[in-house]
Amino acid sequence: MMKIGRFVTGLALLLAFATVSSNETESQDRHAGHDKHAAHRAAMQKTRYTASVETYEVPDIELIDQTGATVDLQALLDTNQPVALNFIFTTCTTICPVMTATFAQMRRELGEAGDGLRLVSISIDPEYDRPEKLQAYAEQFRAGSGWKFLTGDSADIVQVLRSFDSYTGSKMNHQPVTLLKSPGSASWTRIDGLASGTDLAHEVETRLLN
Amino acid sequence: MSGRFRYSAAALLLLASFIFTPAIASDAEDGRRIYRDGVLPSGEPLTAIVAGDVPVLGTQFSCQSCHAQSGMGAAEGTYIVPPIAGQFLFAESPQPARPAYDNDSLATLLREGITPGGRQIDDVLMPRYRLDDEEVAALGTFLEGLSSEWSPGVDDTHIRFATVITDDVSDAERDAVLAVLNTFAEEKNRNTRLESERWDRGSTPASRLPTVHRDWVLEVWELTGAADTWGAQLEQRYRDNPVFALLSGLSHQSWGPVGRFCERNEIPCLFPGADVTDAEQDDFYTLYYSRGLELEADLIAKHLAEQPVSSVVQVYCASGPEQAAARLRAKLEGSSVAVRDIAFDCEKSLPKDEIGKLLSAPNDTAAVLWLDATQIAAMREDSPSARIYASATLLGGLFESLSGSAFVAHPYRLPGKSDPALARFKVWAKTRGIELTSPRRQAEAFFACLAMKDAIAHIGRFFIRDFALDTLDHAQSIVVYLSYYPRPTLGPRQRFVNKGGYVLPVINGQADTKDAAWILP
Repeated sequence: MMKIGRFVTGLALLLAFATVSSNETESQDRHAGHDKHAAHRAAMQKTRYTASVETYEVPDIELIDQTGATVDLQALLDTNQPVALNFIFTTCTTICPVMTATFAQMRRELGEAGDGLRLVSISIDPEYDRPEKLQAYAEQFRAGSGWKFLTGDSADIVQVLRSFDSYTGSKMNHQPVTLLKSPGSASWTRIDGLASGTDLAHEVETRLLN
Repeated sequence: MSGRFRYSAAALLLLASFIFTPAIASDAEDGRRIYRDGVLPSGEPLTAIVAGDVPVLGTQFSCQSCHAQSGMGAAEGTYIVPPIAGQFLFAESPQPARPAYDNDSLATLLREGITPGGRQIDDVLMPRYRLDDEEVAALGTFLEGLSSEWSPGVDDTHIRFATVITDDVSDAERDAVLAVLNTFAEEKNRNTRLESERWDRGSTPASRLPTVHRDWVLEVWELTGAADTWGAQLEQRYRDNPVFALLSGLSHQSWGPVGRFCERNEIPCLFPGADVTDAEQDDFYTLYYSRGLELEADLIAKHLAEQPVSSVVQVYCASGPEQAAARLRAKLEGSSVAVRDIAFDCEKSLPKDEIGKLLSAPNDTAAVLWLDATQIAAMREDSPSARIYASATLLGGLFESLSGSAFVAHPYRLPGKSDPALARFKVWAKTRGIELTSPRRQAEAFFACLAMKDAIAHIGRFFIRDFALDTLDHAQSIVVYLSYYPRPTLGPRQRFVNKGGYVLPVINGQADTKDAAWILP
């Protein structure tokens, strides 16, 4: 894996200062002087998302999709269609439902322009998320036919996460990452943070569909 | 007149008791559905906007999905979800400062994301919900009662747990497991024995609060007789001496009646050593190591699907294996495989002739032996021609009881692989003089104690059962202490730590692990 560079947008930095006060969490820890969640709170004081351009080497592995069909990951991602990829797990309570709903919303906003867009959500909890679980999850979020939900062997999933610089050791430290790839391009746009559907649709339109 | 007044007052009271009590109850029920399922009183899903512009449904985003069943909040990665149970919501908060919520300000928060302190909260994760005043009031009524008091089984000095053991468990196994549980509890109590005197010695406000430490009291609830009487026995023990949770446990029969008892009374049951769980789809209160023999049946079914035979014959005597056999039979239903059972009385001797005939059947017959190592050793057939399957759980790891070649359903770490958690547990046991006569059961009991200790540490001074279970949803890090199971995972609403296993070839008593593939049925 080789990084070409990381360009944090200036706007995002500006926003970081502007939104510090509005993004603080509403913790109820009353025991002053003993703030167990200081780290959490600090992490919350960040802007909605940052975008950077990265190069990743997609591992040569096979995963399975929500129908139980085997999927060659390199073939799936090395395509002349634009790709949007994220990492989720179906029992995740906090950020994954948001990420999945945002993907669905982005797809709706793109309308016909997004017809060729390949949506890929890879489970980071492969022991639990078997194809039937992914299928039910896809239905819950009314995912269309151009959207694959993938699972596989735990070791392979860890390899995928490492390849995309998204391995956090435990699914409970899961970070919201969205990866966008132009047709035929080797580089990816990496979006860290929870972008809105409009933001994502905008990124896809400007970076992938132009 | 006064008589008439009394009459109308009484009538009013009567009316009030008819109208208001059910009104509050139905309010709380409506609120419960909004909170838990994201469904409005009309039966329609709640609608909301999240991350600024993403429309979502309550069925995808109920309050509970983030704020947890207890309403005590959660943290995931770098995102923190505040507690919203009534005692927090309807009270003033110093940090960040805001006055107590009432139904009006709750409505403003839910619809617009503005707290009564005037602060706009993050809309990345907290949706803006479409709720009318009545729906907000119903939700408020539910939150008022949510996690509003301590669960039974705790007082100012003690927290009580019970270990359920059924009478089919041998004394040796029972004593081996109890030695672990009792030692763990005694040690925990010894380590925190001075905590109750410490609470007012510090200088920070937190250190002046009463201690959160409670001495563990462990009871053993032994169940006797038929399984259909266990429910009543448990209810009786619970009435006499309520416990906060069930800890560990042992049975070779179905854990079903104990599981039902826990759901009925909303009692957490952490990691029973159960061969058959009989858990139901939406069960919340019991966490298991795996689906036990039923998982093994699924592993065998999967193996049979890949390497088909024309007939399957299952041999068993005990009730746990009988359920596993039923599971495998159900899995094979609809296929062209003929399934037959040889059931016998455990008290009597093995039907050796019948089994002998089965083992010398052609190799398109699979003999599934739901038997223990002693039973299998007793029917030794030197060169069986049928394909043989056995259960690692029932064999207790004693592969040498199998002659010739066979397959073992093995939802455990591969034989010969290093098991750091087990090594650690062995040291713990050795330094405490505990002999490991039932190592897997004992290691499981040890992990149950660690999980309980972790949950109790996390809930702090809020002794609320649902909160304890909610914290375990996010306790993925504790599974490194679990021995025997190679790929343990915890997660929200996941109730089986181990989900898969192997089907290992065993040749002349030796497991062949070189091509072992992890199967997730």
